[in-house]
Amino acid sequence: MLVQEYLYGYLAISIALFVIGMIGVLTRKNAIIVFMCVELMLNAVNLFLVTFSRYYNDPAGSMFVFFVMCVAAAEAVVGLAIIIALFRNKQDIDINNFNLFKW
Amino acid sequence: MQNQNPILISLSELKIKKIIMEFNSQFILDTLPALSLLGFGLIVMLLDAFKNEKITSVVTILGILISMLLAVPGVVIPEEIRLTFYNQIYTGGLAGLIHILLCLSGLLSVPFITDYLQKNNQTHLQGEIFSLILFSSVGMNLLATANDLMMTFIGLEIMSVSLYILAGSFKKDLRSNEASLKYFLLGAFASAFLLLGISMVYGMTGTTMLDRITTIDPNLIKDKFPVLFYPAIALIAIGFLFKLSAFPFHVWTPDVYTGAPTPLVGFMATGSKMASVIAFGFILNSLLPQSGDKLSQVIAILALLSMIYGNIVAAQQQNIKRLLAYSSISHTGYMLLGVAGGPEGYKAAIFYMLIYTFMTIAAFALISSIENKEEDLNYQNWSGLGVKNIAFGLIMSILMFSLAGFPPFAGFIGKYFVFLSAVKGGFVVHAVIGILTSVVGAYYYLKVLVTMFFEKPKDNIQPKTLKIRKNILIPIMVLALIIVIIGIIPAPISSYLDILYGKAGFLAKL
Repeated sequence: MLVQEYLYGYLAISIALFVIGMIGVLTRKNAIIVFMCVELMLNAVNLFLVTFSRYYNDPAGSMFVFFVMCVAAAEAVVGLAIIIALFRNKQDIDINNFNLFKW
Repeated sequence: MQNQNPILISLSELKIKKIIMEFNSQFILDTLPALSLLGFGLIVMLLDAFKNEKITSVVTILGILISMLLAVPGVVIPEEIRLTFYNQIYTGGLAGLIHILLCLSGLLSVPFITDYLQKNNQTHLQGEIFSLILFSSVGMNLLATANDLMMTFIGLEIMSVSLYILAGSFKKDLRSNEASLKYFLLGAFASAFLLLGISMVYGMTGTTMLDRITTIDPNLIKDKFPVLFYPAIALIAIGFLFKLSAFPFHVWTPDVYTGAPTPLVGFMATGSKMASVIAFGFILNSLLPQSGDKLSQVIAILALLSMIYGNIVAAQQQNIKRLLAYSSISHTGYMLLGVAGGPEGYKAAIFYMLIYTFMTIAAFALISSIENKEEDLNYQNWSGLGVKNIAFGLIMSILMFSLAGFPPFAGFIGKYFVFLSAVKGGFVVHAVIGILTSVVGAYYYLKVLVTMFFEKPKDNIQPKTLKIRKNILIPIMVLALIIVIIGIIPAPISSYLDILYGKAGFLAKL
């Protein structure tokens, strides 16, 4: 059982990580770094889930984390493949240069 | 005792043995529709590995048909919807119907994709594209029928990850690559928000099961972690509104729809939206039995903004795929207005989605039939096309009139039900503005037809291929016929939906 005051500490860390990831996605220009920031957001959520899992003494939250990790791994595979396919055609992964379509 | 791992304690409490004993053949029977889709996806992959691409399209159609047939018994004899597989997903009744509707978008797009790949000499991609379509359909099924938020997330990701790859399936085409990258980065970003929202719900309630969350006293939830309540709902809404391409989260839609291979867009635009709308309405309704009023007003406003934005921006587009992408934002608005209108509107939204599936798949298939180079997609170059190619002109007219919502086509019936339920739900102003925006919609849909029929043909810029290839002409004609038939006699389908809906206890009590 987690004491309430510790709980808020963990939650604050996880929200902070999430926000850092979010800022990274919004400001960075390199596609791979943007992608890494998305992964950071997913892992911040993992911390959130584990904290509450411990707080409620309930294994469901910890199980959820495993599934999130699996999904993140699958996303990593697909995402890197997409970035590599793009790099082969364009020799560039700066997201500002992907402007074939007007936004 | 204090330092002992809580997970170990809880696992022993759960009595793993008992869980294993509980697993019975009924679970397999209940999940058979989804499992068979998965199985056929694997078979198609294997066929591809052994260089049998030619038959993959037939196997895919067969697989989807079998999966739909497996769901039929629970639908034909209207039965109660019930939980299965450790209370993870719903099955039978309405859930079966949802499965059939979701499979429909995959089934209908297969012939057009086959033809498009042949035309572009990309037949070697058949195996992977079809297996991804099957996997994506599995994801849609899990997403739409999930009872556990964990299942919702997994279903959403299975669906989306497959769609990211499908958007970029023409590896050598820079436009396809770019569409795929944008879809992927923004999609992953949005699903992180959804996930945070789900984890906040877990934090407030201590469970991820929606049926259990509904029964918890709402005031109890609010007392425990009052800070988390509205952020949780907002974050979940962001995740779903992104998938639905509703107004403030629509940025990816035009680019992805323009860049991705044309008939695949038809699939991406319909199935994933239908699944997301169903799941979104269900989750919102079960999370918020008490503050439903406030929330449905927010959703209604977002729906309104989507309609206005989508229709006005679509009117300025030259590229037909971009035009349809913006118009799909406005169609999302109509659906969301349905979701906001309560249980009655939720039903209207599902009905609208069904009609939208037919119209959109047919429209993108028709566009792909004359597409050879990028300029062919600019509808200003289509002057006189309708007279030169009667079949193309006629079917395009049916689709455009239907999308614009003219009677007696299906699009009108769909809009009618949505606006009716909105008025009944108290959103009179929203409904009036919605109808006005659909007049703007009529302007740009009809502009395409005016260009095709009443302008003098300019030979030098016209699309080269004017004949619709035989293998896709019949499927498109069937779709057009369905649109006309639903438009004239909608009663059987909508009353049937009523029966199933009455049996769906979990929705009726919302």
